Amino acid sequence: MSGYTLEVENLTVAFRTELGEVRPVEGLTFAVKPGETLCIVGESGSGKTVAALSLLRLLGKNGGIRAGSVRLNGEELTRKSETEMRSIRGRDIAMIFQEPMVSLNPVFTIGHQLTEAIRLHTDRRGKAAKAHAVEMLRRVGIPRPEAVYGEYPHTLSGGMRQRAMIAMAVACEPRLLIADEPTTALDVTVQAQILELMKRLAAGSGTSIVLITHDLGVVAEMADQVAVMYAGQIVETADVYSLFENPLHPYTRGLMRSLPAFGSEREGRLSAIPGAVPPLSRLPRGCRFHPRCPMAESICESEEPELQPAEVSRRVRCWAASGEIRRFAGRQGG
Amino acid sequence: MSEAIEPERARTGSAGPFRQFAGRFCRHKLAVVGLAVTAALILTALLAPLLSPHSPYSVSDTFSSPPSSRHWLGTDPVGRDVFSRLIAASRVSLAVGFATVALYVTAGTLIGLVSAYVGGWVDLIVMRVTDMFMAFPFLMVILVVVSVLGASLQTIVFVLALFSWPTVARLVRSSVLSLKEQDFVKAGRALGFGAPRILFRHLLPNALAPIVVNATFGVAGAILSESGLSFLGMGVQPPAASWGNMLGDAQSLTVLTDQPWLWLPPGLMLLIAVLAINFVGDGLRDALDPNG
Repeated sequence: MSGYTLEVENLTVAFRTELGEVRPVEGLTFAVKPGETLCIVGESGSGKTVAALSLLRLLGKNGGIRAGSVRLNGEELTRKSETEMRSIRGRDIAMIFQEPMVSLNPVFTIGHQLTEAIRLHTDRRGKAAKAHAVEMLRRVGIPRPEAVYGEYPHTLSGGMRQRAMIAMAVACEPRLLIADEPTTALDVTVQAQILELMKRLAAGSGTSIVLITHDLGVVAEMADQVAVMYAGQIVETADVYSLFENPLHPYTRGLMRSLPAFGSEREGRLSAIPGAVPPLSRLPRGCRFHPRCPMAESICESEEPELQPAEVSRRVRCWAASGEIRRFAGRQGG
Repeated sequence: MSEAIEPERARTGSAGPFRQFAGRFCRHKLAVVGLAVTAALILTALLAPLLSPHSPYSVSDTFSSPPSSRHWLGTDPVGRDVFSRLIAASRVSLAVGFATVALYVTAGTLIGLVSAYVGGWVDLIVMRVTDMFMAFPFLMVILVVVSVLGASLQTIVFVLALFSWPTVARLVRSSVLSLKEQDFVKAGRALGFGAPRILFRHLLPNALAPIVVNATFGVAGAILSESGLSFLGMGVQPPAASWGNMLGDAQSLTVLTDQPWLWLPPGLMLLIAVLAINFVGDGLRDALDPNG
């Protein structure tokens, strides 16, 4: 056994479009240990959601995994048949979506939807399924779970719906929980509760979490490991402490500088990263970030950097950052 | 468990969608009347043999006699009791109406669901086929098909259904096309639900409202079409009675001017049945429309 719940190696996802093939995710590599939380951070359009959907092989008709491997507890998922994948979805890997208001079927009660998943993936039937569903609702902190069991989604608030979604996702005790911006659509106060809930559930069952977010506050709250994505590639991976302590990639630094901070020596205006993520059909030559990068050198415009090891258990995709590291290492050696 | 309890909308016992729907339907007075009349008609049709004073086929010794205590609505030129035939006809007419709708709504829904969900070239072909069916001068084609297959109850149901499913297929397709992009479908797939389960258990119930409304109007439409065909002699064949062929038998000028008991009752019944069912349809449409 590898000791990892999820290992993703060199994952590349391609979509057929009218403009030809595009690759919203390229060369994705990361691994998550049992009980650990990995946050994937990036702007809109950086390929975070596609990366998440590709883990479940839910890319639709025009998309597919072009290269690389996804292993769940050492088992290769990219070569599984659709039928095998279906039994893995919901049972071994569950997913929570961004919009709890529309992720529940409006014409069925919460209980109906919860027991449907339970009946599909476990041996529980009838009363046992219902009892488990009510217990799950209780465990996610929904008050009056027996009553909520019989209610329709429209009668619940956003936070309650997201709790119900989480109950559905963890009802079959998956080994991996993928959460795609689970708190973005919620009030700030509710956000903290939902994050707390996910953390507690995962800690209790050893479930690993892949959490997709654009919010560094959420990252600081939740992550053990962080992968920063830009234009379909991982530009930096690190454990959460080193990342906030010492971001290596200029993009990560930019993200952090665009956060408002209280009580820090930084005063005055927030700095934003100029420009936007380039469209996939017109990626720049060389480093994909160089047009927006304050540290861009000539090599950045012509050659694409690799994701290089830096320090212990960190990787960064940047000429400048890895150059600095080399110089630093050289000075120490000599 | 020390979870903070979130403020939730205060409501005691949420009303299910059905309760809400029933409430809205009942506010539509004409629809309630229509529902009562339709129910009475269905009951009459079901209990026809018990309700009719005579056999609709037995011939008495009085021909074309006006209403009397023995024959409440008189007799027809062959000597059969008009009232009994009227009741027997309600059975035929309603049966044609409901059977046709059951057939074409099922077919149309299935075709529309699959077409929208599968998409691609399947969708393209299905939609062109519906275009083709909708472009036919259908009355002419119906007459031809009936003459080829021979007029019978089954033929009428089949032919009427054959030209009605495309509307339903298009209706279902368009609602499924918008529904399948919703997140609950994505969430269902992420929970490991297969395509048939998502189609029939998750999408179909959401698309049901417009189908039900369309089906209701469809019953009225099918009853009218059957009458039209029977009037032309291409529908229900004597001695079986339908409101249409009773009207068809009363075409001569003498009957029209001197024997109104032969054409007034079936005409009125047709009018009442179609109006009542259409009112029900109106009520359903208003009750099921979330913006109403």
